[in-house]
Amino acid sequence: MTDKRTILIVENLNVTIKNGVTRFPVLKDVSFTIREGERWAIAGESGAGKSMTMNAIAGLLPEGSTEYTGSILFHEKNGEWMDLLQMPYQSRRSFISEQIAIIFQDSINALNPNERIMKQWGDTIRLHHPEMSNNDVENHILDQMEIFGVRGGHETLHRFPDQLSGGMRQRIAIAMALESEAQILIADEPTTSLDAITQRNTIEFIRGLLDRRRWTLLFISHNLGILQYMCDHIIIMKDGRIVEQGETEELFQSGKEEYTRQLVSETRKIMGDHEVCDE
Amino acid sequence: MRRKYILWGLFILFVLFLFLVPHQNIKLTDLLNTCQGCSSTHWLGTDNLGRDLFALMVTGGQRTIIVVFLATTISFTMGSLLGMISAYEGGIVKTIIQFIADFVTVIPSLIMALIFSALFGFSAPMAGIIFGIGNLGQYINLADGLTSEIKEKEFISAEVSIGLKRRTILFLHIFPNILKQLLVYLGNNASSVVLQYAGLAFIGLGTDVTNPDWGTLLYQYRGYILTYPRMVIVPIIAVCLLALFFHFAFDDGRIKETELTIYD
Repeated sequence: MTDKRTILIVENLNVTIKNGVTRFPVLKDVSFTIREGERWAIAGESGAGKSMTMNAIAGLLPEGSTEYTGSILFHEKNGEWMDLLQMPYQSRRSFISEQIAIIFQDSINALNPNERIMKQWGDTIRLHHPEMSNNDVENHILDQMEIFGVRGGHETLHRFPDQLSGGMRQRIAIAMALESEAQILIADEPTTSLDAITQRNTIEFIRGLLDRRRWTLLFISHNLGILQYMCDHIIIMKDGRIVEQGETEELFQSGKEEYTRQLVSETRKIMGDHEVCDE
Repeated sequence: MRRKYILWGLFILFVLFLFLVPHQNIKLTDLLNTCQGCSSTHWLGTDNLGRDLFALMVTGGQRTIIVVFLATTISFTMGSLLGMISAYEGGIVKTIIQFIADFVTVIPSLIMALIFSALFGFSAPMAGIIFGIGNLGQYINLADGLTSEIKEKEFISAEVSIGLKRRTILFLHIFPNILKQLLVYLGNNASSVVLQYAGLAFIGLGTDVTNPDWGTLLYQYRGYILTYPRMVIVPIIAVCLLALFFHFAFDDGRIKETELTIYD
């Protein structure tokens, strides 16, 4: 465990959103460290700051109206440390897009409604692999469709997103997000808007991908059952602060903070004991 | 969809016809043959000075098309561009662009037309430029509102996260998504430009009365509405048809012909 390379250090991160003269602190003194191959979860009730943490790391907060203090240190493959908050916005965005893949909360809607699947998927591939010819891009997409379980071949590729089912759209969005050679995968409540069966399939699918590609995961959800199943470490957040963090099993069995114990107990009441504690 | 193709086909034929059809000299008067009815020599008859009404209508149509083309091109391209940039960039850029939008919106086209006609004369291209600038603010506000809404969508965040460049997102992904609404407004706007130009020409605002704008013709022939109604009805029909065309051609009321959904 200890010889794993540290990949991301978030240190004393404070984020404030400005709206005219109003300033609203959304993250307060957030610190955690992620090592390569670890699967981290961020849990908490709505408004706890889970998605804000993801947006801050991924550089998705509006630049003009967001203030940061602290640091987000990223360990590159070549051994160098980069402080994302010290980089100019555009360089930060292009750096992050190569290092972090994101599956969005509402990934069913993460496709451009006015472009055919082939066009948007192809553009994403060409962005990360400009050397690929059109034929290679098409063959690559067809291969990925097999892997990601997207049926229909060329017919599907020539459809618009609204002509595909939610599950297919979601898998295509995930496949597109994973086209980069990223080191970290952030999944922001990727199953929230799905039915139970598709939810289960998606979770299994992401889990399978992680096993195959040995990626580092940062999984955001308020569903502790899913988080326990997916992740080996967990961060509990409340009101923009980290309440507690540590190994998932340890926190679930003997959380030190009252809020953690309360969260686990409430989840047990809803989902049943076995779903929260057993895999 | 077929209706749209037919409408646009007819419009292109109409424009080609206006600019290519040979017609008589519009300044040639024939006092011996005034107010003549339709004939093979004068398809729409002659007016009170014996001028060929068809030639006058064709020339008026050419001028109207120039005005509409210039006005809509200026306001659509500049307004959409500025509106999208305003919404996407925010901050000081938005403040400056919004000031421009408010500034051009609060000055009535009539006042602007008076100022410009005093400075440069009131030609058809000048009218087009005035209407173009006058309508800029509405396009800026519309594009700004639509872009603000689209940029919050999940697929734009996804595009930002995969590293697409700002201008690619703005012009290749946001613009096509707001184009439909902008085009519907463009249709209404083009239609109102036809009416505005006819209105300005009717009240003789700076325009040279020897130029046969449809509005000018209406003004000149208004006294003949009971004796020779043809002379008044023809320009009225032309103005109405062109205005109606722009309404229908850009109206996107059709139901999208969605193909069957692929389920897995």
